[in-house]
Amino acid sequence: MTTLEVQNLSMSYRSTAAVSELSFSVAAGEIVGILGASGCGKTTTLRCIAGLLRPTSGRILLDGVPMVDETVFVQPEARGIGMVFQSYALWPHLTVANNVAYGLKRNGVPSEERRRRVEEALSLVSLDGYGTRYPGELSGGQQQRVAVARSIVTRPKALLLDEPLSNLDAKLRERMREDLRELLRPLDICTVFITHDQAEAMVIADRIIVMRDGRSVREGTARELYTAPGSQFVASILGAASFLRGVVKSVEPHCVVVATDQGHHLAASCNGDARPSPGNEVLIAIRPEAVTLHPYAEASGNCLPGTVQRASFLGGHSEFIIETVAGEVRAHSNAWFEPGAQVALAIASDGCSLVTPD
Amino acid sequence: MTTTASRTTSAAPPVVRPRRRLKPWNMLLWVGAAVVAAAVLTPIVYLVIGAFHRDTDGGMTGGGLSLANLHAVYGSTKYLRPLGNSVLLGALVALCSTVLGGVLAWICERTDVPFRRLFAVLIPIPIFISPLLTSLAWVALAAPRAGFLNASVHAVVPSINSVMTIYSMQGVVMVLTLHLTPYAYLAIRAALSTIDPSLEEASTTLGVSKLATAWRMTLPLVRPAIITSALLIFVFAIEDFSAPSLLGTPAGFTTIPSEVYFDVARGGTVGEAAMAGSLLLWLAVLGLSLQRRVIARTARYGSIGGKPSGRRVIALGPWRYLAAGVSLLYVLMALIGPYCALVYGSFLRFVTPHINRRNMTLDNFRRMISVDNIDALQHTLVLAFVGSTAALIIYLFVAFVLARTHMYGRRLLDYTSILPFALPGIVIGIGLLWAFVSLPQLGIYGTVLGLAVAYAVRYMGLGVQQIKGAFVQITPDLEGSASTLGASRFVVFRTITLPLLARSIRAVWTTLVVLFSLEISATILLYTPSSRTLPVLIWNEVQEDPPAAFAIASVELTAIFVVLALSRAFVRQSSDSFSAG
Repeated sequence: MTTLEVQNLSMSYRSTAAVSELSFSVAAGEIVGILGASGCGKTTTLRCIAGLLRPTSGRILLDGVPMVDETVFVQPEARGIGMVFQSYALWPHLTVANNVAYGLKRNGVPSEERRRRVEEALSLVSLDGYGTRYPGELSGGQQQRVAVARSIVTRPKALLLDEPLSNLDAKLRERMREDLRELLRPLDICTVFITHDQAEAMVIADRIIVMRDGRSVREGTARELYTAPGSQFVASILGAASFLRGVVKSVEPHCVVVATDQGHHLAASCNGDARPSPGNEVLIAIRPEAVTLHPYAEASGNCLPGTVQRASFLGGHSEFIIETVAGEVRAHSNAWFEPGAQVALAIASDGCSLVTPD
Repeated sequence: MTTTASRTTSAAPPVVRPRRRLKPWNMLLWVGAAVVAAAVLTPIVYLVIGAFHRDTDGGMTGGGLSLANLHAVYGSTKYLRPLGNSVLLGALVALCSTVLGGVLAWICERTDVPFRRLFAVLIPIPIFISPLLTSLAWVALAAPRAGFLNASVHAVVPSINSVMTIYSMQGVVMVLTLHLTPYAYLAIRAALSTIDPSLEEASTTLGVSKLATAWRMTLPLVRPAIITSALLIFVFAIEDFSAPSLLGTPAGFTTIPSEVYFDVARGGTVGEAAMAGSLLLWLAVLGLSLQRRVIARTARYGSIGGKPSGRRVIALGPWRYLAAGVSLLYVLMALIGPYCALVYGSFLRFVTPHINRRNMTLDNFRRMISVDNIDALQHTLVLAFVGSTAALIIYLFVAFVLARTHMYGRRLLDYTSILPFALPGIVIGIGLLWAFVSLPQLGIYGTVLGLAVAYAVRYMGLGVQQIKGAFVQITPDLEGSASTLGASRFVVFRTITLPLLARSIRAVWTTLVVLFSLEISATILLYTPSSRTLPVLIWNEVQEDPPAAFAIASVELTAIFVVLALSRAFVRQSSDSFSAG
């Protein structure tokens, strides 16, 4: 089984560290997404794996064979790792077919087989018949698929994708997300892609690594990261969340009861390593869909009162910004409330969790 | 290439290529860079050595160090006049060329002038007609009384003997302006084309008239281009040797380059000429450092850019015929007139304005390919094609090292390669003359190889900067993706980098072919009877037998037009294949 292992990878440019002590591994057939804001070191990580950069320290192993460590540096051409560049990096002077055939030619694949495999690869990305075109004659989405075809036609052991969909417009990006996943799934190779788009990461990746300032902050499936973000940063980079401060009132087996300043009680799930004890000051993240809005008159039990600040009708649901005594809360609701309306917020505990503040 | 350009900007992440590990590869880079640096620094070092050298009976090898030359040049008034003339000439030419070039650029970029495309093709061509050829052609056109133009006017209006005299400072200014205007035209036109027309539209919607908009909005936006091209033209004008020598000297108008040349040619002291050459060096360095400073400062105009969204044209109404007239006049004076004069003059037995069959002959062409001159033709062909190709390969190497490696000391190499920009041809000539004579073991004094070295040094700044610019256009991702697909460094260069650079390289090569076949400023001090070139023949025949000079010049110019046309056709053809790429 092929695996890609990154161990304690660090890379600094002059004195600034772009990546520090990053470790993760990818199994064959697994798609790992690295999610982070621009400048967090994700592209540097990818380039180190591809061999376009030599890391300052750390090891990268492919199939147990070191590509980089203290003494070894395997040149990119000898690694057998495919890469799709953010700019696609298609060669404008070669036809689509010659772009795709380039890697096969370099690896000495005979011309008959080469032609067959190029055709296969192009039909895999639904670009049959485009072989004689030049990249400049294709749309952005088509160029992106040529770039993917070019990198998988050589059957690499690992595939790296640098912001594969970021150059496409929003509609196309949404469709290509699913297409890309369908395309990569059966390949059975180690795939790493980086993105700053949480939806892209959630749709395509089996596992997400959240990066910040060159370090990995959190790793897990999209579900795990969404329901139990653990930190304010992860909660805000993956989906929307509102943050409220409070003091721990009591600790239950599966949740923590938190009191806001005004004495309202909220039940929040807690999956962090440290169990807080009563009296601790904590931060809770509230997902907008965990909030149920009621007209103020119907308020009961542990509801948080608030006033609608802004209301946006989004079609399937509406989004509200509610000013409460404890702070601003974002809420989704099927019902409609006019700005200025008095509402009561009921918050479900599974969409409300304790997070460590930044 | 628009897509490529936008890709370059979108590739934000820092790109650092793996450090070079291979020892032999590093060695090769180092040796190459050292050789290039030595070639550039040699003329400068020997210029200094020469300047502080005491000549013994015109000999350059004997003698010791002395400050005599320093005294003769900086301590006397002998060079004050030529220096003043050089500065005046440079300033006037810079002013005239920039104004004319700016007007032509605005006409071709922003107005509905008739035959716009034709003018846009023709206006840059005079760059390729050296000042020597332009001067020669204007001697034919406007020599006192005998010039075709003067004689024609005299025939119509007998009271005017000569409508203009080319042997004057005005003549020198005019010839150099005609030759250098395209530099300003190209720079200002490029700047105009990057201004978002909506910026100007915004101004017109605010009630500002079109011409006021052009004056108050457009002019400030292209000001950096105007200033930088004016400074560059100043440097080119002060370093020119042929126009002031040919046209200014008879009128007593001497500049530093012509003074330096006549110092050496009249058997004066080469050491003093070297010291005088340093005056020119200061001026050139001053002009270019000012230019670099302006370029560095213009970064703040970058944000104004916006996306060019098509050409916006100002309807000039009846004024468009005036605009066409101005453009036509320039093309006639700088290109068509001189060429016709040279061609016509080359069929004459002697210079005469009278058109008469008995005055016509083919002897000039026969003599040109006579045994005496055939070697000069061969030398020029070898220099133009073999010499320029060799120089191109060297420039490509330097540009590659600068743009694609992380070699230690490459900043120094960068500066060294720009240095020749500030080295006037005649200064390179003196420096290398001294070097070649002092180092007889090189065995290249007076050889065609010696000339090739001088040319390669002279045009290094131009060649390296242009090719480096082409490298920058190619995002390193294009090469990186080839590496990840299994291509070694050499294969990447051959299959990806080189084809993508091909168009720029071809353009640079064309320019070099033309420049190498017309070089005179350095040649004039370095040639010997066994290494004459066509420009040298022209220079020597100008006084003796002008029609012979016309013949050589018209043949050379025709050949250059053919080269330019072929190159243009080639570029068109190859750009069709991946136009959108």
